[in-house]
This record gives sequence, structure tokens and C-alpha cells, in this order.
Amino acid sequence: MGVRGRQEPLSPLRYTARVESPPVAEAKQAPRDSVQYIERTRRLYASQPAYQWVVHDRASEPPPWVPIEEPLARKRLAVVSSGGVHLADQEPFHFRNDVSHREVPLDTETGDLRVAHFGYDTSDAKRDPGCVLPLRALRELSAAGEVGGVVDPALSFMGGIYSARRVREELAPRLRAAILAEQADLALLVPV
Amino acid sequence: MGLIARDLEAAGVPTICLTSAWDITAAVVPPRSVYVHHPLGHTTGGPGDRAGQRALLRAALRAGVAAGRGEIVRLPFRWDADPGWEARAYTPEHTETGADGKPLRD
Repeated sequence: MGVRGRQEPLSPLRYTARVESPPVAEAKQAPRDSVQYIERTRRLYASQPAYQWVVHDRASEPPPWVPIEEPLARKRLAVVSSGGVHLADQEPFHFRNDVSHREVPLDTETGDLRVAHFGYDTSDAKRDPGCVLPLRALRELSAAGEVGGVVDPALSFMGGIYSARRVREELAPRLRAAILAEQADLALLVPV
Repeated sequence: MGLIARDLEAAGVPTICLTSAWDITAAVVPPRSVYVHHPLGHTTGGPGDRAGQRALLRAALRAGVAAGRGEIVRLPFRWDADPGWEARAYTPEHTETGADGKPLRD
């Protein structure tokens, strides 16, 4: 004796287990003491073509999301700084749309590091690149077991790239390939 | 960098952006962000401040892993080395090399 009535086809959408991403947080108001860099840049470089800031709408262009489940002590951390840090014997970064990056070994001594960046006051970072790429602190947290490990080398480029297209099409895929090849569990990104 | 954060996260690697430019980061909406109220060029601490850089990195990672999607979490760090820096940041008075557009060479 069969079951009477129409058989509902199984919908793969309905019955496949899915992990839902959490909703995107509401935009917070900028802290009152924070500097309005977009507005100040517009004024400072008024004679030049306007910098193309990247803007995403929270609702229609939410950020992708991968949950972080395990503790930091088990995470292998990749690190990228856009502070323009490079080794003394590497080619410095150039002005405008330099989408190259440099590999910076974690154990590099401060004296062997250089900083080249057109977009911020680099005087302190030149004295100590740990202001924008904290190699020593990374080594210390890793040695203490607070993070599971740090991918060696760290990566650096010079931010302030005028072409968002070139970041998307050239720089991001190259950094992604380097980080995926190292099987990093988590990436710490320091924009400057 | 927000674009790179989104690219990495879409490829399966969770990311934490550690930023000192709230407005720029808020515009890009990276997956997770931590804000430190320091002048640009000092996001991970002051020069030679070994203990401070370590404390900031530790705090940033802890706050970052706990941050919600699209959230910016402010860290409780202050910049006392240059009082009133906010008023001068990114003005002609404070910009070392930006306005002339010349490449920097050491």
C-alpha cells in the first residue's frame, strides 16, 4: 500500500545542511577623536586626481566571513603590513600604484629593515619598523605560545595604491596565493 | 588593505585588520577590524617600545578574534607622545613627503 498523494521532490536547497554567516554588524559612528583621513586627503591633494577610496555597502556588499573557532594558541598567523617595509638589499617601493610586495623574514634585525612610503610620516617607522610591522612582538608571542605560529616571511607592500582594480587583480591574488601556500589559519593585516 | 582582507576571507582565511584610520576602514567594511587611536605610521606601537608593541599586538589579536562580522572594535590604547596630534595629522604641516609625490629613498 503506497502513500497517497503527490510526492514532493526533495529540494537540495531545503535539505542540504548550510552554515549561515552571521548578520553584518550595524555601522558604528566614528569615534569623535578619530581623524577624518578621507576628508583631509581630499584637501591635502586638492590639485591631484581624487583618490579612489573603496566603499562597500554593508547591506548589499557584506564582507565574506569565515568563523574563527579554535583558540589563538593553535592558530598559525600570516602577517601583512602596507607600511612599505622592505629589506635594505631589496628594491624600495615607488610612488603610485606600486603593487609589488616584499617578503620580510621574521628574524630580520631592525638595522636591516627599511621603510619607503609616500603617504605617512615615516620618521618613527624608519627608526623602528615595528611601528607598522611588529616582527619582534610576533616572535615573542609565538615563542610564548600565545599564537600557534607565525608564517615566515611576513609580507609588506606600500599602501595608498590609487588603482583599486590593480589591488583586486594583481596584488590581492598574489598575497592570497602566498598565504594559502603557507596554510595560514588566520591573517593579521596592518593597513597604513 | 580592506580589499585584501575581503579577498582572503572569501578564499577561506579569516582576517583581522588592525587600523588607525577609522573612516577609511569603515568605508571598505573588512570582515573584522580593530582600531587603535594612534597617528598613522604607529598602528602597532611607538618606536623602540618593545613592551608596548607586544601588549598592543596581544590586545589586537584577542579583540580581533572576538569581533563580529563587519565590526570595528576600539582598543583602549592612547598616544601620549605627541599631544594634539589629531589636529595636525594629514595636514600640510604634518605630512613629510606626501605632497611632493617623490619616491622615498633611504
